[in-house]
Amino acid sequence: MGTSPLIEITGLTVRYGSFCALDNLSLEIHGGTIGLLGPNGAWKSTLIRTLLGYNRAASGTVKVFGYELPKSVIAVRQRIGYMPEREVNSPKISAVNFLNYLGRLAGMRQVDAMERSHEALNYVGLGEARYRKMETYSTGMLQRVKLAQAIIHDPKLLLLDEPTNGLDPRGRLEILDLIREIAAERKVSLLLSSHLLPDVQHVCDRVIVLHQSKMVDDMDMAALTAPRSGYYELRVRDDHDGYAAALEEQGVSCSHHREDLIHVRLEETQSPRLLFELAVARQTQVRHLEPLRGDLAEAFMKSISGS
Amino acid sequence: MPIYKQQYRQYSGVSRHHFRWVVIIEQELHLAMQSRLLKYLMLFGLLHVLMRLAQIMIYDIIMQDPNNPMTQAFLQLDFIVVNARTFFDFIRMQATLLLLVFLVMGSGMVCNDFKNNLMEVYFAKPLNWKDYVLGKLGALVLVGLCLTAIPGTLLVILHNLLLPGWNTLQETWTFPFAMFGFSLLIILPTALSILAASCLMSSESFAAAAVFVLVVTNGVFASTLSGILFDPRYMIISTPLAVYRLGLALFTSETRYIGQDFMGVGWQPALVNVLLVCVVAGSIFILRVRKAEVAV
Repeated sequence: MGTSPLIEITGLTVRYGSFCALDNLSLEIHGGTIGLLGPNGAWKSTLIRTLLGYNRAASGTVKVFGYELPKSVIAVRQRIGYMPEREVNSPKISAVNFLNYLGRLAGMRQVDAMERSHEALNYVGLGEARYRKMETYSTGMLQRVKLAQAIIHDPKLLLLDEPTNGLDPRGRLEILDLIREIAAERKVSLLLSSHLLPDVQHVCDRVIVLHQSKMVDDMDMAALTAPRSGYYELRVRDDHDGYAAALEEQGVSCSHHREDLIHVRLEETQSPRLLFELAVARQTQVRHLEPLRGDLAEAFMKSISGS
Repeated sequence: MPIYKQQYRQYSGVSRHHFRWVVIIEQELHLAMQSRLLKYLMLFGLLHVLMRLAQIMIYDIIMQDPNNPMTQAFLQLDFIVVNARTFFDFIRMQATLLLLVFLVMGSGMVCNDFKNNLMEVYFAKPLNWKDYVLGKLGALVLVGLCLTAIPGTLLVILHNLLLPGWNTLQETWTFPFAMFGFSLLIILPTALSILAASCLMSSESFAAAAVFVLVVTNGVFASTLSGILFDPRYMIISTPLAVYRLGLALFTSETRYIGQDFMGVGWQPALVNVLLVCVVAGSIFILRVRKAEVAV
């Protein structure tokens, strides 16, 4: 790519005392929606905190928007929105006052900050509750306030640390949809850290896997979830075991994925037509057939076990 | 059902990059004014100002008029006379109130930000620890000055307006400076100690209790030491007394009423005491906030 990267990390090492949290990490991000995956304790949050200037590099360089950290930390923070993992609350004031305050801290004029506060709270679905004191808010509402405060100053990059923590399934989907919408419609790049694979799959188009202080994989979500050549998932009406055995007799490798689902792998010389012919021969019906797509969970497990 | 769907809108305004601590001061004052207790304390402070106002008016209007029948009655009351002592006592008496105001307003200032994980959010904005420290301290200093030096200076101006003349001006022109100095000597160690306690404690109640215990312990230690060593000069270890001593030094004309020496101690050891408290408390405050911004 011709443009300079949004985030450029070279040989980054971050230590907590003598303990090495990030070890010689190098990474380039040019924008888009990037998922930061890793098991608990993979130092995902440490990487995000380093990008915000909270953690200083023991060695290596970190550049965000071309600004080197920690030298230009204020310029970087001006362009970044951050949604922390932990619950944030300012119990004595309303959400609109809280956001107005943060907007002004971000450098906005009083009038602009107030206008943006109303807009951001409406946008995240807290329009009705914005004048209530934050001590009366539920976990889901506080999560929305966190997202609203992250976008109040219209950042060019959003750093989201476990954005669906503590949310019920419906709230989780709503927040993820909002995040995806912000990224898609306004071209805001985002780095989403999570240990929940479905969250990352829902939002991101690229996945970086951290494990044991190192980056172990960098995957393109479209390629990862694209249909795999020769792999199919199918379901037959009955006689699953007999049908599978017949497939194997024909030299088709297959495995039962769930009770009635069969994953098959056809050789290059074999056509999917074979699957229907066998079903006719065994007097059963193919009820479901689709190309098998790559699975993020599988790829993730492969990444961390291979590291 | 909403009458419209809010869309994400880009911000096209200009961002300012300086004086972010002013925003913090404004927010802290806004938060403080939500406390009913604090409002009552401020009103109590205003009551004292009104009493001094009455004193100045009585002295300047009634007592300067030999034909006024009430003059003779007021002449018997020494405390009605307006001089350096009046303004020194005004600040000194406001100091107790100031401690209470600061305990209510300042003890939760930092610990609540830590407790509610707000530090992470604040320092994700273009803000650094200097802005934060200046903002929090500035809010307390401003409230402190509103209770002490600012009304004190207004009283001096009023005194000059009601009793115009070269003599009044010559006698009082240093008072505003002395009052600002004395006020800052009270405000800074108190504010920094409370902010330091707020940094170290997990709740505002603990922080307030810690400062209160510290003030009492300091006084008890000073009096015990001076008692054991039979030397009253050790009382200067007590920070409130050290501030008092410095106040006397600032109101130079006050020495006419109280004497050059205060327990045989000059102002220098008192200044060392106050500076030490400011440096220690300030360092705790700064280091703790800085650690919240830059963890490692």
